[in-house]
Amino acid sequence: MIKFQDVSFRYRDTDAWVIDSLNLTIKENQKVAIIGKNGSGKSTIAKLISGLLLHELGHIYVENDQLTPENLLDIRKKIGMVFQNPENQFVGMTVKEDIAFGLENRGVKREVMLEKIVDILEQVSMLEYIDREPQHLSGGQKQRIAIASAMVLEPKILILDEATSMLDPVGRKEMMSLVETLHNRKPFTLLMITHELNEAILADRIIVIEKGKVVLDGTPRELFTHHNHALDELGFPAPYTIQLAKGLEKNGFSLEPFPLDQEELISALWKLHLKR
Amino acid sequence: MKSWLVIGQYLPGNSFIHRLDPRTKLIIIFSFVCVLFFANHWTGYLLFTTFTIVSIVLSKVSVPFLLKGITPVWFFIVLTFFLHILITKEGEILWELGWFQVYEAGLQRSIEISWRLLILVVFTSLLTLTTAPMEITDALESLLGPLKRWNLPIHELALMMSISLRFIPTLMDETERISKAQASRGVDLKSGTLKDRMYAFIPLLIPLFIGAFKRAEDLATAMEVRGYQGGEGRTKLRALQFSNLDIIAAIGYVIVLILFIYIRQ
Ligand SMILES: Nc1ncnc2c1ncn2[C@@H]1O[C@H](COP(=O)(O)OP(=O)(O)OP(=O)(O)O)[C@@H](O)[C@H]1O
Ligand SMILES: [Mg+2]
Repeated sequence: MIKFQDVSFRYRDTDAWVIDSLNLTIKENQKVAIIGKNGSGKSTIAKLISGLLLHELGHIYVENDQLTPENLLDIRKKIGMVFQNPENQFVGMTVKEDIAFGLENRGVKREVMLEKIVDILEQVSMLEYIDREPQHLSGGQKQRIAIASAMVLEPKILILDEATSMLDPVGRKEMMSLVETLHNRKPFTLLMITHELNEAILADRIIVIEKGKVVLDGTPRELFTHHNHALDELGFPAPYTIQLAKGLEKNGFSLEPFPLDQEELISALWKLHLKR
Repeated sequence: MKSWLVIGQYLPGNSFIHRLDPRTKLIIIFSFVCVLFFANHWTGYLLFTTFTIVSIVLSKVSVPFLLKGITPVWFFIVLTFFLHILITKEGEILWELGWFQVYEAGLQRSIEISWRLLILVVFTSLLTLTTAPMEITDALESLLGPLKRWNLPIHELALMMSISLRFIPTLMDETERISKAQASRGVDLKSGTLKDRMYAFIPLLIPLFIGAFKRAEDLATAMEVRGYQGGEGRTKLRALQFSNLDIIAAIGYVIVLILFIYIRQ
């Protein structure tokens, strides 16, 4: 669980609030997408949750504990993060050493460490790369390792900050399905920051941030059916399937239930066709 | 671009020297380099040269490769040689050309000193050829560990070293990318006077530095998120372990030392 209560934050030496009395509650094991324009404060929110930045006003709760400078290190243990550029997150010379870094920091015994590394690499299907140097892997593989390095510490919360933005469409899909698989195997709270509505649709809930405030918040279905225009105005035109469905609706062909992806669109069209 | 990296290049292998604990190698090499300067007779040099040759053989590093690796240092060895010939004016004059005179003692000293230098360079490059950079870092951290008691930041230094090593390939790639990008815009790095070329490097260095700072910041965040709080209470995946080989190496080295002391008397 993550809870923001009237949280405000500004960077040092600046006057403007980057996060402006933000209120937000994210339930345990929920999959939440955070979208918003460049500079709207998404990464700042991620850093506030993990105590990498300290909020100035309000309260933040992580798993029922209030985040304070004193317990920040304990709270951070519950959080895993993956960032945009995989290249800049590697500490180790090899895949094995990189995944070990977090475990070493926690003082995990060497034998246990090796077991955990093998186990997590199996889960992200990268075991054969255990002794490789990360810089010789493809972008998608690098991010798999970055996810493994975060998940090996068994965090309650995983934050992906535009973690797919440097990958090609195939790489993105693979990464999202990997996260999905990991989540199904052992649930955790997932917070994904993204510019891709196609990815955001996979979440249980989409939160739109604008100038450090929540401007839209709901399930993908709610947002695309009732707040299409607002999304469009915020710079997030709906994905093609949804635009198509909206267009059909406008011309008197209403689809039930409203389709969010291609498969749902096809089955809705079939239903419509059979009805006639 | 990459030729200057030959010194300090690691050649993975499975030889006796490769399999020694990096601490053993560091201790032996460091003390050997010190002892080297106490040689005062040709027998001593013979002993040390033999020791060096045995080490090379045991490392299975090819001699041409080793010699190629130390090319950049040849210049200094030759320079030292002539410098000592010039400044030492003792003993008989062996050879004369106008103001230039070669004295007996001068020749002897030059040969001795450059020979020492050669052994020293061969030995250190043997270390880097047979030991992965990370092993050297680990060994240094382990050997200098006791200095932590006096609040010297040994763990931090070792971490800094290993992270620099980790980022060298990344930064090399980046340099290549930027220089290609600049070349495609007509920046010429390969011709012109030295001054011209130095100026041409500025547009390459600035993006490189900015990139490096961004990387450093990202890396620091990534490390902090994964719970890094300094060396206290940390465990290590890479564990150094002495084996029987290290005992053999130590015995061999001690025999050389005893022989040397015996010779010197
Ligand atoms: N270190 C910093 N110092 C000062 N201002 C900063 C700093 N980092 C970010 N900002 C400012 O804070 C605001 C929010 O930044 P943030 O990185 O949270 O945005 P974002 O939503 O993640 O954007 P993007 O989509 O580009 O990643 C921006 O206006 C940015 O200029
Ligand atoms: Mg961001």
